Amino acid sequence: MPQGNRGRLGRRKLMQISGAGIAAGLAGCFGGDENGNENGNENGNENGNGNGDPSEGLPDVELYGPEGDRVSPTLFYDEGDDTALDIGSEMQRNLELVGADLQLDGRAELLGTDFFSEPLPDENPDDFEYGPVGRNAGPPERTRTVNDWDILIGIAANSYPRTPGNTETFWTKDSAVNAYGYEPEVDMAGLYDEFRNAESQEARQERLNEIMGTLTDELPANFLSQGLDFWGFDQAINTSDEFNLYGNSLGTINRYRDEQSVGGDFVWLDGTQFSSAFLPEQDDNNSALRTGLLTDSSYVIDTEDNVVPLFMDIENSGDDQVWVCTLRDNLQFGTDADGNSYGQMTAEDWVFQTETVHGVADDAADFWNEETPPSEALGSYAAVENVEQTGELEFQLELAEADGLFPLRPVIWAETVLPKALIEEYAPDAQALRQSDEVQNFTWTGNLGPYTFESRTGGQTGDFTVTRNDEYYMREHTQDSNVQVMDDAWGDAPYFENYQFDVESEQSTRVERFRAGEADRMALPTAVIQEFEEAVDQIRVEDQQDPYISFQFFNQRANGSILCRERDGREAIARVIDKDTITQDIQRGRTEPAVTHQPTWSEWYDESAVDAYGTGITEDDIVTARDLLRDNENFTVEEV
Amino acid sequence: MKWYIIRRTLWAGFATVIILSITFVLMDQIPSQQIMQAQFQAAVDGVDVETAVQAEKERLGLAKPFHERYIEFMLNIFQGKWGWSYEYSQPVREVIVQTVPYSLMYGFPAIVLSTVIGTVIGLYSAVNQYTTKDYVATFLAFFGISIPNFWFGIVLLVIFGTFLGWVDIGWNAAIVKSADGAWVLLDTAGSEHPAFLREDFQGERYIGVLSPQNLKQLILPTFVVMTGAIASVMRYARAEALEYVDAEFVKTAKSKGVSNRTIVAKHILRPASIPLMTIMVGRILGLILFGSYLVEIVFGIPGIGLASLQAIIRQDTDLVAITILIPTFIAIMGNLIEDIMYAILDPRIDYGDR
Amino acid sequence: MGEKTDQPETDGGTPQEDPTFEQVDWASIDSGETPRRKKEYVWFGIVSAWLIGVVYDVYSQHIAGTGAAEFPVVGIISPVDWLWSITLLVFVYYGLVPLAENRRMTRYYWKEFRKNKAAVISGLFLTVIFAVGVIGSRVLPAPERTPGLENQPPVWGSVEDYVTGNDCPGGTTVVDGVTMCQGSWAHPLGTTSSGEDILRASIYGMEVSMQVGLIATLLSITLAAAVGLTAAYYGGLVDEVLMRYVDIQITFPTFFLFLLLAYTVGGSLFVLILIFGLFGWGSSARIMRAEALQRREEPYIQAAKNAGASSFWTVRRHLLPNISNSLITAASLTIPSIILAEAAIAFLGLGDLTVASWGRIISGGRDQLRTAWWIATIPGVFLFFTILAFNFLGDALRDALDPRHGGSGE
Repeated sequence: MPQGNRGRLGRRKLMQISGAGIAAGLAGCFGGDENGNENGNENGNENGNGNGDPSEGLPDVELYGPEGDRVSPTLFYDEGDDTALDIGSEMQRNLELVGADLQLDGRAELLGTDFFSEPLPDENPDDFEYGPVGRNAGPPERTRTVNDWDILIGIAANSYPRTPGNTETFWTKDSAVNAYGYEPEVDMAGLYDEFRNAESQEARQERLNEIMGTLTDELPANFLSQGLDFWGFDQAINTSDEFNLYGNSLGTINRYRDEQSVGGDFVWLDGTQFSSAFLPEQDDNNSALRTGLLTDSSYVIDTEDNVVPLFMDIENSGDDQVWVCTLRDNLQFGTDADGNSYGQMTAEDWVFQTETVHGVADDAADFWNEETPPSEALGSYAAVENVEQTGELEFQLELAEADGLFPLRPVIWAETVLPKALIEEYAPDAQALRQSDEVQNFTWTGNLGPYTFESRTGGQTGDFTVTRNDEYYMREHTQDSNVQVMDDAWGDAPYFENYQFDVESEQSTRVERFRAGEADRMALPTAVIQEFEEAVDQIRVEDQQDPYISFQFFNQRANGSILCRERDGREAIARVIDKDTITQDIQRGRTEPAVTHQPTWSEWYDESAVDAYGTGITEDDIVTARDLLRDNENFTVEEV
Repeated sequence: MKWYIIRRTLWAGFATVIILSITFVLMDQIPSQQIMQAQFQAAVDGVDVETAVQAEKERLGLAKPFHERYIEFMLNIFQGKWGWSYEYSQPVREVIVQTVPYSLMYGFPAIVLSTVIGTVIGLYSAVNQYTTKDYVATFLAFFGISIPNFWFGIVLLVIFGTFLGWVDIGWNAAIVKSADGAWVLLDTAGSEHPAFLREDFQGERYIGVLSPQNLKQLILPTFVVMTGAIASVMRYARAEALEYVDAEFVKTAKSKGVSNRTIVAKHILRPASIPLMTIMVGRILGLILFGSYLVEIVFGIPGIGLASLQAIIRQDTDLVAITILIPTFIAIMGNLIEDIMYAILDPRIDYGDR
Repeated sequence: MGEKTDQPETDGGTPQEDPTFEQVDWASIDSGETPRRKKEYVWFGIVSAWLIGVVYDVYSQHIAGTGAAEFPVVGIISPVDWLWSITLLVFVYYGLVPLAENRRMTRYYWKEFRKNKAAVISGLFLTVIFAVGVIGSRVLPAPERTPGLENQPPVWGSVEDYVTGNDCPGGTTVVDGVTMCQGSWAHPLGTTSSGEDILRASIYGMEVSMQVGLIATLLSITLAAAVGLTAAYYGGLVDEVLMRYVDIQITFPTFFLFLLLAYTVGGSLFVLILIFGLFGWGSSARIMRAEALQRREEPYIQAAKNAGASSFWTVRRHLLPNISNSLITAASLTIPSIILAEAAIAFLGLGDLTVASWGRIISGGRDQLRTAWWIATIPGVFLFFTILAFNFLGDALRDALDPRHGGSGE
């Protein structure tokens, strides 16, 4: 099963709530294999947490702000996540070391109004030098966050290990995402520009090192942890070696039981149900995983950043601004609700959808009875100026700006297409199209996917079942092809008769069923990973690199605590927040401390360029933190 | 009498309207998660936030002003157009049709069995007060109402499923339907039937509502629901019967030498049965139908309870409205029938009084 | 006996002492005043102090914006604590004090009550839980989330090491090649998956359950009594309107209402208690109204009316005490159902995460029933027995207080 859809959605998703779904960590040197000490101090770290308390020899302090009042920042955390409260409590203890009195406040909707900002009541937004745009209301000293928070945890941000230039949206002062009011002291936008325009890989690496170094210097956010996703597989199921790496692996040819031959069924035990059948608007991973079985997509990217063509190949016309796409010649749509075939997939379908549904045509909105066309990718497609059909199976994309890495951007990558006739049948009524029989029952998929839709039961304990497609188009492209000849393994793909997503929303039941061997694959919650590794023989645990880094955001706007607005205060916080305890104990060793906005396993990460805080905290760190605050005129550190 | 019935029926209708309105208003207050997500996505993509929010609102049907939506909502419900469930990606009517039978499958036997058993135990213990058996019965009854349903379910599942291995832990929902999705009472099917995914066997096995596999997986949830219901029925039966145990006509019967059993059956059961029947119709039905979603969550049964809980959490307004409407409607109907039956059957009550 | 009824009082002389005839002080009766006894003044004073405290706290929090008011000795008083204190005071004043005053009736009740052995044991059990909960919550430190000490087994057991967190204070042993972590006395009942000590959490949970049960019931019963009695006494339109409202409240699926409100308004303990108290009183109101309807026709009510008593007086002084039986019964049956409802809401994840309630601990442990079974089981056992005890007690109270054999229906 091509993970292309997952890749695109994963790429497009800038941030997500960490916790649910982000389970795990790097197996290896951490996680409780040294034990047996009487005093129970066995973490593999030099300074064990818990008993080896680095602040033992130091007096207690209290921190006061410029007006003489106690520094009491407020921490927002995700109410629905139990470990969030554990982490918050740990942070409370950590911040006591510098004398701050952290207040905890659980929120239901972290990515909602909590992450918005607004101008101060007596300010006129018209004379702001930048903003308001998106969540960024303007310069930090003239704006405030909508709700009063000082520190916010529970949001993980994509680090784009392939194209780290995408991380710019977080760190420029006028970006739409910058809800926390970070105004860099260096020219971040300039640095990112230089990164993009650099001539060589070394030059790019140098620029990126500067950026990452600045981030650990100015600390607009504290980078808490990076993780892995953990999957349990039935022993007999094969996963390729590339599965563990960040990026896509081609599940269609790599997933089989025992040997690479057709037979048997595959059951994936999942916690969330299917919800979105209308592909242009589909924005959740769960639905994408399922529909990815029914239809392939344009192309996928492998772990080496190469394009692997599925429906089409994409080529640079030479000037980085026009890109040529060539479709395979045997792609056939299915039928409509009455049984009439939609015919072959041609470039016309692609051009039509891109123009009218994804809004590339200027008058796209007029085509529909709603204010905007029914697509969730309007913003991404804004990069495409024009699309044109140049042949039966060929079309061109003209970009607004030259972009050498265009295939890696979440625009046409992993894109699917609906038959033009289907769209035209229901237009301009977008709602009717969404709820139509063809869309809901996937009658239009034809030979486009390795499986065809069989049935689905909705709800928290439903399922989504598909059966092997006898007509899968890719089988014909193993000998010769008008686009690219594929590996022989595609000749018999896929290797299961039936494939089912079995939804079981209650986690305990789900884990119990998986233990009993009722499924072939499941995402493992943190608490049971070690048990499955050691005690459940018929399940094999595989980890997968996950690009999301969990942040501790600081509110640098006018209503933020002085501790967060001052750079020294932020460094003091970063020095005492114990990432080791958070990752090793609370998250059971399944995450690793993060250092900057790139995971440590990324090829772009260079540890000499960054400062690492919060790991292996010693008495010195605490003393340095306190000194930083003492030397800053805004703070008074008093011993009690 | 007629006037009374008409009044009560009108009131029932009015109450339904009010309850639906309250539900609508409450659901409306919750800030929509999808809209916030759209806001955020738009901010990220650099698209005009207002337009994106507007688009999302239209998609969710939230663009119109409050009174328009409200009227449309109420009219639709009464016309039977129950809307679209975003969570299930299906019409709400479809969702109801698919989920209610699962709830009935364990609910209905639970109601029937617990009423019968509860009444018998209650009567027995009323007649034999303060004997050991009475104490045992009372204790069992208290056990039933006191034990947290959800906890009990989990514990049973772990004991019988994990440790003893007598029951499957997951719920097999496909076993009650045929291969093309139609409900089936009892039939046979081979291993390509979706209920037998991942299993390979020769020949055919039973499928359908009455199939042994389905009945086996129904035992635990029915039992858990029954423990609570039996207790209520038992206490009520006991209380009712006690009113008559000391009555004159019973004493007369006893002194005449009529056996205990006959006394219970003929003299006590009859007057006590009126309130019992009405109670059963009125209260227990509603209680079981929506009070059991804790059971559905624990056992993974795709019934109406599970659907309604998630509907609230996911702000699937149309589905919430209907899932509140159904037990409310049953409860109102039940109360209505209860009142009417009381009025008709019990000559002592002056129905004008209410 | 000689009745000197026609003996006029002589000026300046003392009236004759007569052991068989009481002098009736018509003067004070005619003036319509009843001397308030000392205890009523004390009660009045306490309630006023409470009210002032609440107003001050609300003022300093919301109007002056200086945060919660800090009182001497007790420090900050949370909203739940305010409600808890008034509940306990009400219980003492209206429950214990009259019992202490009317020894004869108390003895009678106790005799009836003692017949039911199970109820006696329940009563004892609940008193112990109450005492341990209230005192323990003041004396013991709150259960703290301790990283590293997750999933410790209880002192008598051991569990595989991969189940527990990184530290193992009880020491580890190797059995059949599998490392087992032993329980320790530092955490006699084990810890949760956040490292909270279960013994401490259970003790704090005792108080939380008592708080939820008793406060919400007090609110609920007060409202039910007020509504039920008013409806019964006034009859007519007032009755119609009130009862129709009660009808709607009853028909609205209560649990759904709780869920909807818990989800919209938030699940903090204070809000939860308010929701239970303000929206669950419907059926109690009906019961009390039914009872009051019967009493309304009694002659003493008529007599009071004739003597010129105001409605409020009649209801409060004559109706209310006479329906107190059903009031107490309704209360003792509401308590367990509220405690159960709170546990269910916590189980669904909508409760208050910062409070150590049994429901939350059970909910956190249900994922690990196979490996760390004690997390869900031990608080579950506490919960079960508490609810059982309340049910037994309620049933016994009903039997004891109701002079009619068999009691009233549900």
